[in-house]
Amino acid sequence: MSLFNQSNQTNKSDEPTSHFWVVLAVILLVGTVFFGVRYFAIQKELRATKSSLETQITNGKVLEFAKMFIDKVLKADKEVDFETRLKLETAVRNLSDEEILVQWQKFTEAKTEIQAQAGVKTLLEILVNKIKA
Amino acid sequence: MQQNFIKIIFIATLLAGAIFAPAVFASVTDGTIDATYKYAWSENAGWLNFGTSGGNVHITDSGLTGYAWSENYGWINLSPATSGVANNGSGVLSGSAWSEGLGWINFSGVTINSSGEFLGYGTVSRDDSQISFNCINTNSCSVSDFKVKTDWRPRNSRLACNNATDDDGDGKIDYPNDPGCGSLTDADENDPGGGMPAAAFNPPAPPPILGFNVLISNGDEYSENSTINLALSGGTDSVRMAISNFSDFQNTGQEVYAPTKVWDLCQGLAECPEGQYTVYVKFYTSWGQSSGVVSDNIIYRKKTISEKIIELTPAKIIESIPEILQPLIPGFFKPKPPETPPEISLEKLLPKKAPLTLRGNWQLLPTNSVKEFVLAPLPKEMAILAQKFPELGETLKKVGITKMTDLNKLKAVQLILPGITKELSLLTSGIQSDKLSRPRDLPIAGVQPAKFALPEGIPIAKLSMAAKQKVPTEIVFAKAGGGLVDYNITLTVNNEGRPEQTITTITAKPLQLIVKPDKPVKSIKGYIVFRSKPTVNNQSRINIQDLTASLFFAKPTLAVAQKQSVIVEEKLVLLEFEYTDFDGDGIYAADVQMPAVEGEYEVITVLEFQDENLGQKEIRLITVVDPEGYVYEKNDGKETRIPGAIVSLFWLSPATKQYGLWPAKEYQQENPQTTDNRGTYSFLVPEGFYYLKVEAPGYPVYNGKSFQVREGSGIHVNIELKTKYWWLNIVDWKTVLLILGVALLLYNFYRDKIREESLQKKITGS
Repeated sequence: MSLFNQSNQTNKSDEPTSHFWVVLAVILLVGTVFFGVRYFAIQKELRATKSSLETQITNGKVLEFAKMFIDKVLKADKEVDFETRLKLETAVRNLSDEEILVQWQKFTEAKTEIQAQAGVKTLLEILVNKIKA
Repeated sequence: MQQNFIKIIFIATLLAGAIFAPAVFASVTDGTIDATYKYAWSENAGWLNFGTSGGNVHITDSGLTGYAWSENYGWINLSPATSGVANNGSGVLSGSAWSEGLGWINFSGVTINSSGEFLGYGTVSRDDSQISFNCINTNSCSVSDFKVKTDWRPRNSRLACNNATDDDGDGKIDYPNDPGCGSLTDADENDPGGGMPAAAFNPPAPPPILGFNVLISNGDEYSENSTINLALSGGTDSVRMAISNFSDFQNTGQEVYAPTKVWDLCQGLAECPEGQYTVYVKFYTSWGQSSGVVSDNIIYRKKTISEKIIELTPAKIIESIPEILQPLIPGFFKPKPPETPPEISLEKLLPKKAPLTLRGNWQLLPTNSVKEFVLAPLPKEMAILAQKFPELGETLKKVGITKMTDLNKLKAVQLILPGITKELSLLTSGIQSDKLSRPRDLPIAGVQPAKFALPEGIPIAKLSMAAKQKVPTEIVFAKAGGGLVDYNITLTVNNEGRPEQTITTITAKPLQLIVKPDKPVKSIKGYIVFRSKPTVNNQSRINIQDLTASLFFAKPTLAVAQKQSVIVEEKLVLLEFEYTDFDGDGIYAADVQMPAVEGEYEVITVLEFQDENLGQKEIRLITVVDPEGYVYEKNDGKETRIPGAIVSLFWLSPATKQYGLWPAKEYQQENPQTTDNRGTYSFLVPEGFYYLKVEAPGYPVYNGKSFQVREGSGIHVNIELKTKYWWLNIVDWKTVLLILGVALLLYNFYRDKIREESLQKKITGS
C-alpha cells in the first residue's frame, strides 16, 4: 500500500517536467515553422527586390549611355575625341547587352552617311525599347 | 673536372627535358595548347586561358578534353559528360563546354586552321555573348595579339601516314598499321608492289580466345538508358564493322572497326518501349570479307522514382559533401588560382583614329523627315484667317506661332475675331492713318472698352458703299438686335489642329447672318445643323486683345472649295434658309431664329458661284446656343422659378457716363422684361458695362453687381431672390413650441418657490 502510494507520488512529480518538455518542443516546432516561413517569404521578397534593382540599374545605364550618345555624338559638330570614344565604348560594354553592342558596332562601322543615319535611328529605337517599366 | 662535366651533362639533360618535354607528349594528332598563344577573349567573362598546367587541354581528331580557366568564372570543362567539344577531324569544332559560372559555351563556329590556330567565335548560350579565339577576328592583332594555338593539325594538313585516313584504300590506316607507311613522317600510304594478296579472299580471323563477339554494357542484364556501350571483339585483321538492331542489317552501312562503341538500342525504331533488345554485329577485312553475325541481348527498363530514391546511398551523399562544403572553405585553404592573363584594356583595343561616323563630317540625323514635321506651315484655314485679319497674323507672330508644331501654344491663349462693325472701324482707322477718307457713319475705333467708347453695331443697310467694299469676303458674320449688336467670333483650334469659328447666343433669339462672296454667286444657302448637346468646351481659345492693325489686305479666300456637291446630313438639319441681297451691294444677309433647345449647332453657308468652274464653297460657323437666364428662389435646396418678376437692365451710357435703363427698343427688344411661368429672361446686348435689377412681389429688390460684356453676347445669368421673411425659414415652429414649454415650466418652478418662501415667512411671522 505504501509502495503504491510512493510510486503514485513519483509519477505525479514527473508530470510537470514532462509537460514542460512537451510545451517546449511545441514552442520550438512552431517557432521553427514560423521562422522557416518567414525566411522563405523574405527570400522571395529579396529576389523580387534584387530583380527590381537590377532593372533600375540597367535602365540607369541605358539612359546614361543614351544621354552620352546624344550629347557627345549626335550633337557633336566636330570629330569625337579619343577620350569620349573610350567613354562611349566603356559605357556600351557596361550595359552587357549584346543587341545594343552589335547595333553600336554597326553604327560605328557604317561606311556611308545613309548607313550611319539608319544606324542612329535603330540604335535610338533599341535604347528606348530597352528601358523597362 | 670530371665532376663538373657530369654536372653540366645533368643540367643540360634537365633543361632539354624541360624544353622538349611538351613537344614529346604533344603531336599533330593529340595536340596541346601553345605556351604563348593560349588566351581567348570573352566580352562578358574576360580572358579564358586554355593552356593552364592544371587544365591539361588536349585536342584530338575527335574533340577537345581538359579544362580552360576563366579568371571570373572558374574552370570550363571541355568534355562534360552530356556534351563536349567535338572535332570532325578537319578542325571544325562543334558541341558545348560547361562552366559552373558561365553555363554552356557553344563551340559551333570555331575552327582550327592548318597552322593550329583557333579561328572564329564561341557563344555563351546564357546571354549569347561571344568568345573570340583569335585577334584576327576583329582585326585587332596590332593592338592585342592574342589567340589560342595548338600543335594539333587537321587531317588534310597532316602527312598521309599520320592523318587517320585510309589514303590508299587498303583498309589500313597510317603507320604502323598500313604496310605502305615506313614512319609517321611518311607522306605516302600506298603499299609497295601490286596484285591481290591471299587475304583479299579470306574472312577476318577470329580473335584467339573469345572469337568474334559483342558484349552489351559489360554483360549487364538491364539498362535504364537506351544508349549503351558495346564491347566488340573483331580480331586483328578486322578493319570495318556493321552494327544493327535488325538481324538483316537493313539500312546499315559499314564503319571503321573500333573495340568499343556507344550504341542506341532505339536506332532505326519508330518507338522505343521497354523490353528486350538485340544488337547484331558483323566484322569486315580491309578487302571487304565479312565474319559471321554475332549478337547480344539486353533488357531496356526505365527506372522508377522509388528506385532512384533508394540509389541515394549514404556513400553517394558522403561523396557530395566536399562539393557542398567547398564554398564554405576559407580562401587561404583553397589552392591558388592559375596565372591570370595580362590585362589588355579597352584603351589599347580602341583604334586611335575615329571611325567615319564619329568624325563629325556626316549629318547623323536625317533632316528631311524632321523638316517635314517641324517646319510644316500652319493649316491652310489658319493661314487664310491670318491673311484676312492681319492683326491675327501679327499676334500669331508675336506669340511665335508660325509652324504647324507651334499650334500647341494656342492652348494657353484666347483669340476672338472682331464683329463686322469693329472690323470696319479698324479698317477705317487704318484708312485715316493712311490719310484717306473715312466714312462718316462709323465711330472712331481703336478705343479700349474700359474707356466706354466701344463702337456700336451698325446695320448693314446703313453702311456706306466704301465700307461695304471693305467687308472681308467669305466670312460669315452674325448680328442681332436689328443689326446693332455684333457677335464677335471666337477662334478655336480643334483636336485635329484645324481652326473653328464659334459664336455664342441664346435660345430662340433672332440672328442675322451676313456674308460677302468673293465672286458673283447664283445663290447662297444656309443650313442650321445640330452638332451636340451642351458640353464643356475643352478646345483652346486664343484672345487677341490688341487687334489694332489694318485690315486693308484682307482679300484671301477662306471658304473651303467643294470638290463634290455639299452633303449635309438631312436628318440633322433643323433649318434651311437662303441668303438674299436686296440692295445689290454684294453683301448677302439672312434672318434666322436660333433653336429653342440649348446645344451646339453649326451654321453651314453654301456659296454656289455663277462661274461653274468655281463650283460650290461652304463656310462653317459653330453656334453655341445657351439657355435663357431665369429668376428663382431656393426652398430646401431646390430651385423654384419666380414668374412675374420684373427684370431691368441698366447700362453705363458712354454719353452721360451714368448708368441708365438700357434702350432695348433700339435693339428690337424689351427692357424691363417680365418673367413668364418659367421665370426666364434674356438680353442680347453690345459690348459695355451693365447691371441687373429684379423686382418681384414678396421679395426684396435685387440690385446686381456691375459686369462687363465684351463679346457682344447675351445676358442670361440666373438670379436668386430671397423672400422678405426669409428668417422665418431659419426658425422651426416645433423648436419654438418646445422652448416656450420649457420656459413656462421653469417659470412655474420659480413661482412655486416664491410661494413657498412667502408661506414660510407667514408661518414664521405668525
